[in-house]
Amino acid sequence: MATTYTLIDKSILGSNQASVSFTGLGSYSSTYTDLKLVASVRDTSASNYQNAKLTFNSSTSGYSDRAIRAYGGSTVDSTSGSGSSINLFYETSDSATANTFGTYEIYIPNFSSSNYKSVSIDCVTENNASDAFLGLVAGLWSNTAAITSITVAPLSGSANLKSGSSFYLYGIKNS
Amino acid sequence: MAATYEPIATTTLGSSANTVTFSSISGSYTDIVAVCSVKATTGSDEVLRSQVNGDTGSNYSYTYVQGVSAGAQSGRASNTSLILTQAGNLAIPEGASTFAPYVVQYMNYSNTNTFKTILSRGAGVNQAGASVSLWRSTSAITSIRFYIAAGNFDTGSTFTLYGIKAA
Amino acid sequence: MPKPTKLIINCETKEQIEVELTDEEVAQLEADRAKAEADKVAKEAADAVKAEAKAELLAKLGITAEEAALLLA
Repeated sequence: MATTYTLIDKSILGSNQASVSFTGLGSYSSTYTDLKLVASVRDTSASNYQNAKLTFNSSTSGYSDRAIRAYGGSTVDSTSGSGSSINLFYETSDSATANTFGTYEIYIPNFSSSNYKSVSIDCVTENNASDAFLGLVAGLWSNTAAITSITVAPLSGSANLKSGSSFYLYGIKNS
Repeated sequence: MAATYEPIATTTLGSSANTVTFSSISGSYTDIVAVCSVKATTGSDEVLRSQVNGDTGSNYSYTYVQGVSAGAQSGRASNTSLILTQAGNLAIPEGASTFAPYVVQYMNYSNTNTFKTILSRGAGVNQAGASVSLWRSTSAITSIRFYIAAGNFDTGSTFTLYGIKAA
Repeated sequence: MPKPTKLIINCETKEQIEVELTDEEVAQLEADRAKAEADKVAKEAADAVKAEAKAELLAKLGITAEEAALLLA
């Protein structure tokens, strides 16, 4: 039987990088139904955590998102945004506890369909102090093109993804 | 290598339908994961619901957290007739090209010693959330129903069941 | 007006059949919908009462919501 949940590719950073992209996904449009990106991330920003951003096909338009967030030890809120990326999910940054990487999972169903692309993101950062972050995010790329590339990066252009961050892209086949 | 995560069944609606039921689910897995990508026909304004084994009685309960334009919210219901498969009272989208993803996990679904816990994540348009539900029965789950109380799932909505084996 | 339909997928045989809901099932759906709407209205009313009480208390204490959160942190 064909494997349902398959690792398409992975990247474990050996040096700091501005972004990580998985390209050539068009060749998997008939192989897999959904995509899932699982990441363990730390960036070089001088803070406990900051926004990450997600874009498809190098597009910088048509994105919107909504998040429910818990952070700062006691704050729970809901926020939304729209613009050039899906960016209401967070990653651990360089002022957090040493050797600590946050996690996010991005689930993309029907990535090659001709509908708009909705995504579901779970993210956590951790920090042995009072300031850490947990979020559930709904994202939308209002574009009917099949997804052929995925790019993640720190939202702040001045920060890099830190060496040791890992990114695993899985394909999921529904039959 | 033995397969851990297997597709059980899938459907893409060729016409609108109010209910999608997966029946005769094998008990050979540990957990079931349903991945739904859905939108509703115009005017439906309804939430995505689930029931199991044809049980329409008040044998469920749930707790949810959601982020919506009004802010962060939470709630719960006891002795209710449904599994909440998304966050709160958020209607599934009706836009032309927008389908919302939901991932619903029926944990230890074939265990006949425990009540059944269901975890769900929903990511609709301008809404995000999670819920946990309980079905107060020790019966193994053999069928799963997805439905909305008013209106229909629109053409193109997809529903897929995967089985996960612990070993 | 055509009745709503249900799609049944047999996970053993992979057969998929589409059938109309019965009258009882339609009636149950309507009851579910009415209860959900009533629950939603009740929750919104309760939330509004809570919000008003909170605003009154903050005004009485002469502090903002952020200051209250800081006190309770």
